[in-house]
This record gives sequence, C-alpha cells and structure tokens, in this order.
Amino acid sequence: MNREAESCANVDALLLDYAYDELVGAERAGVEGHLAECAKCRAELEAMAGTRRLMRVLEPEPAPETGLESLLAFAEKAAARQGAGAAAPSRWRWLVPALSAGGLALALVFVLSTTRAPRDLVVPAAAAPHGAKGAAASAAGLGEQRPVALAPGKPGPAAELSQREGAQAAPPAAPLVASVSQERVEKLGSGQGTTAKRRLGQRPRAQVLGDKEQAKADGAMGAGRGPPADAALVLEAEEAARGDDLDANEPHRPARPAPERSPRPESQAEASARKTAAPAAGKDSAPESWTAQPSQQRAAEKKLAGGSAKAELAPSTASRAGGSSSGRFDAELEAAAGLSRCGDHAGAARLLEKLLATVAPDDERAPAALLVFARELELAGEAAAAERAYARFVSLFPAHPSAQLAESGRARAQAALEAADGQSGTRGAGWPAAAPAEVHRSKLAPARSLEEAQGPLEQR
Amino acid sequence: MTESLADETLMLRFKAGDARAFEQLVRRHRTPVFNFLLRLCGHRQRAEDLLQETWLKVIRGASGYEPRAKFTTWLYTIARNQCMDALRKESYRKAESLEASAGNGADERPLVERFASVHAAPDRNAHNAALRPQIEEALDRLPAEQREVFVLREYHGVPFREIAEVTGVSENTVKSRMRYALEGLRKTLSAMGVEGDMAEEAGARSLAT
Repeated sequence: MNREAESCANVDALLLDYAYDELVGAERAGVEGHLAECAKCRAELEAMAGTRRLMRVLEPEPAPETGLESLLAFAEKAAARQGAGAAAPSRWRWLVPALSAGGLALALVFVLSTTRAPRDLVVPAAAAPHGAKGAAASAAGLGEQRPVALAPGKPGPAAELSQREGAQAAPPAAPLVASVSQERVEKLGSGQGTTAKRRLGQRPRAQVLGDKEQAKADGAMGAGRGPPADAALVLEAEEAARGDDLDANEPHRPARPAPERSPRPESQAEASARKTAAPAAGKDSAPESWTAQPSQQRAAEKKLAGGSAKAELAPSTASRAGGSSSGRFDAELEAAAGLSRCGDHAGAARLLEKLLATVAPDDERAPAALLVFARELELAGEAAAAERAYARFVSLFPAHPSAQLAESGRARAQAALEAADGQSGTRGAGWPAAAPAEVHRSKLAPARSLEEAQGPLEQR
Repeated sequence: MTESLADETLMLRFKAGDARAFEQLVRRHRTPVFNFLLRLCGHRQRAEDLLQETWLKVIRGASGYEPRAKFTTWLYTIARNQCMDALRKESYRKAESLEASAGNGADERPLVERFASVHAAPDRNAHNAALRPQIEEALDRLPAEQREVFVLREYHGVPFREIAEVTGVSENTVKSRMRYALEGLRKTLSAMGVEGDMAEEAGARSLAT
C-alpha cells in the first residue's frame, strides 16, 4: 500500500498521535507525506498546535514544602518496618509504648465522653492521679469509674495500656490515638534538638509544620527534627491499631441521633434553633477553613481548656521540657470532650471547629480531630454539617483506618437528612435568626467546672 | 551515586527498607504530581492535601508494590483516583449546598479560585501572563474526564497508552477524549477572543521527565 496516498480519514485518525510524537516508522512517514500535500489536514494539525501553544502558557508551579518533612519521617518509619530492621533502623521505635499508653488515655477520654449519657455531669478528670503514673494511670482511673466504655472484664487496664499491646486491648480508642496523642510525642521528639524544643514551645505545631522557612532552616534531614518524630510514631500506633474495627465497638446509634439531647419529640423550631447554634462561620466553612487563623479563639480556649487537661495527660515517660503549646491541642480536645460529656455536642463541635482551624490537613492529628468533629455535629443533630465533615474525612483520608467509620457516619447523617426532609419539606428554609453566641455561651459553664476539678493537677 | 536509578528500582529499595530511596522518589516526582493535581482539581489547598495523601498511599502501598507497570503510571493512578473522588464529592456537596441556599445566586465555586496566580512561577513574559486566567478558565471548563487526559498528555508527557492505564479506559477512548478536549479548549478560548497564534513559545516547558 502506498503510504504517500493515505486518505484524509486515515491520517486524521493518526493526527493526534502524530501531533504528540507517538508515531514511528512507516506510519509517521505516511502522515508526513500526506500532510505535505493536503492543506485541510495541515490546517487541522495547526489548529491542534495553536491550542497546545496556548495551553502551555501554564507553567509548572513549585510543590509546597508543607508536610514534606513529616512525610519523609513517615516513610522512614515504614521503611524500617518493611525492612524488618535490615535497613534504616528507627530511632523512634523505643518511644512507641509511651505513645500507645498516653494516646489511649486521651482517646479513652473521648470515647467515654461520646458514649456516656449526656446528663451525667461527673467530671472524670477528677479521678486522675497526681503521681508519676501519668496518662496510662489516668486512663485506668477513668476506666474504673466507667467500666462501660472499656472492654468488659478488664477492670484494671493500666498494665495493658502501658504496653504496646494496649492498642489491641482497647480497639475503639486506638485509631484516634494514632492521631491524637501529640503532646508526649512532641516532647520526646523535641528532645532531639534544642532548637526544635524551643520552637515547639513557642508555637502550635500546625504552624511549625506549615512554616516553609522553618522547614528549610531545619533542612530535610537536619538536626531539628522534632515534628517528624510525631509522624513516625503516629505511623507506629496507627499500624498497631490497623485492622481493629471501630464499628464493632461503636454503640449503635439511631439514624437520627438528635433525641439524645432532647429526649422528648422536638418541634421544628427547636431543631432549627439547634442548627443555627452554629456560628456564622460554621456549617460549610468549618473543615474548609483549616488554613484560616481563628480570631476569637484565645479567650474561649483559656477558659475552657486552661492547662488542666494537659496536666492530667502529662506522661510519666516524658520530661516536661518544651513548654505547653503543643499540649494545647490535647487540652482543647479534652475541653471539647468535657462539653460533650455534659451533653453539649453543639458546643463541643464549635470548639473542635476552632481547633481544626489550627490544624493543617496534613497534620497527623487532623484525622482524629475531624472525625470527632463530625461525630459531635452528628450528636448535636446538625446532620448536614456532620455529613459534610464525614465526607471531608473520607475524601481527605480515604486510607485512614477510620475511613470506614466516617463512611458509616456519613450514611447515618444522610439518612437523618432524608428523614428531616421527609418531615419538614425544604430543609434550611426559614431558620430563625437565633443568636448562636447565646447558645454557645450558656454551655460553657460545665466546662469551667471541668477546669476547676482538674485545677490542682496543674500544680504538679 | 544512586541519583539516576530507575523509579521502579527505587520503589523496590524502599519496599526493602531503604527510606532514602523513597526520598529520591518524592523529590523527583513531587512537583509533577502536585501540578497534575492542581490542574486536575483546580484548587490549591485541595491539591496540597491530595498530594500528601497520594504519597502516604505510596508508602502504605509499598509492601504490595510489584513493578508490573511503570512507577509513574502507578503514581498518577493513585493521584488521579484521589482527585476524582474529591471532585465527585465536591460536586455532591455543591449540589447540596446549592439546594440548601436556593436562590442565593452567587456560586462561589472553589474551582474558579484556580491556581492562584500569586503563587505561580515568575513569568517568562507579560504577554503570556495576561493570557493565563483565560487559559485556566478554559481548562477548568473541560469535563473532568477530558481534563485528566489532556493534562497528563500535554503537561506530563504521558503517552496515550499509559493514560489508558491510569484512567482505566481504552486507548481509543483516551484519544477520543483528547480530541474533544483540544476542540473544546479551542472553542472556549476562541469565544474568549484568545486565538492559537497569541501565545509565545517561550512559555512551553514540560513537566515530563
């Protein structure tokens, strides 16, 4: 067959490959031969070329440095595991028991808080010991006070919790632990270099990780490697927790969880009022606004969290060096747990929302914070917002051990939405312009008592 | 020096416990993957999220990694799936929020935020810089399945056969989408008054490795 005489149709089918230089040999020669003679096909090719020239105005942009450090630390940990110690021995492995224990303590607080009867105002932190037993012991204290939330037949879980196996001993907590237990990790990690220590002492970790200049200053593998240790440890804990099914231990919630807060049938006005309890920035923007700096955060944080929860959770294994800013995350989480325990899920959600605003999405603590946020929204009856938060979790952390949990949460929230739709027609129409601040404030009282109850611990 | 090792070799080394190999992979492909995500999802913050999540998936998937396909094909497949997933959920949520705020008019699509020009690389020339918003807009208007094909082929130099692997459709479908993409871009740009002879060649710089 004479390639020179290719028909326009044949050439057209190959024109794309030709334009992108994917043709070789005879085919290429055939197209070129035809193009030399056929103005129509030349014009077609030129049209493609013109569009391509335009599109190549877009130049590549540099990838952000954010998260690179922690990613590499994560990889190091994974590599150490994969190599079974053959290569790249991990400097962090020995820290793991501390992580598991302390993390579990914190996560337990939350599990307890979200599974308890809402009207019970007992403050569990009061049971936390002052001594050197630290986090694991305090978890034990909680456990004894509320055996319901722990695995049955494990009256004194402290011993297990202080071991890595603790992660298996209390499966529901573990995935949260993986991301939540920052404080002691950070302290231990920061022991690697004094600069890191100082830095962590001064600023919230999210900022530290997000600070490009700082990251550069540290160098990818430099000495100041505080933060990456977190990621490494988190991986360890996460791995330990993997395979545990949260759902299995999760109390089954009704499709519409709202009644938990108001047992009697609620009127639509009430439901609406609760929904509007979200501050102006809430709803849609909550998880999206992770990069935004919260403005009015400080005062509320101080009131709610103080340093008390942090003190409660201070691990015996960690030196107290490094200041407290990194512990603020835990403290705020605990404060939110306090609100949740008091049945103020909307308040807890608001607090978590603020907390999320300080956490970069690639922060290892982000998944737990987001998941708990979604959960609190759900418990608060804010199904639409909860659905979005769950959806955000699934889209951001599809590989996270808790992704399935988020999926089922999302399904629940959707079901609740549909149920609400069925009842009241167009959702969102005619919400009263209630004052969100009012609702929010009135719920702060229990949290203050929480702080008071924990106060003495701060003096350690 | 291990600088020039093949991606697949590095990945196998990482699988065997060499974290440095992973670091090389990241440094080699981080920017291309970021740009792929950025152009595909059109949202800087989300592209950053997805970038991180993509690499985390690479780490988690390392133990099961077999060099059956090119590493980059695997990598782009992961990134692409994450992004498509996010886009699907985005449109779902958008539909819902539109419904919730019916009649609110202003549709602040995050996609329109586009690749914020502030962060863009310094321009070769002001002429091309002036064109960029329209170019971005035109790309944004493509259906996602055409956009991904176009971006992979045009900016990342991925051959059609490999794009077929990444997107899970036949090579013919890929090419057909590419034709539609080019035609759609030409029409959109033309409607904006931007014609093919307006760009200056200096802008062309490939991410292909």
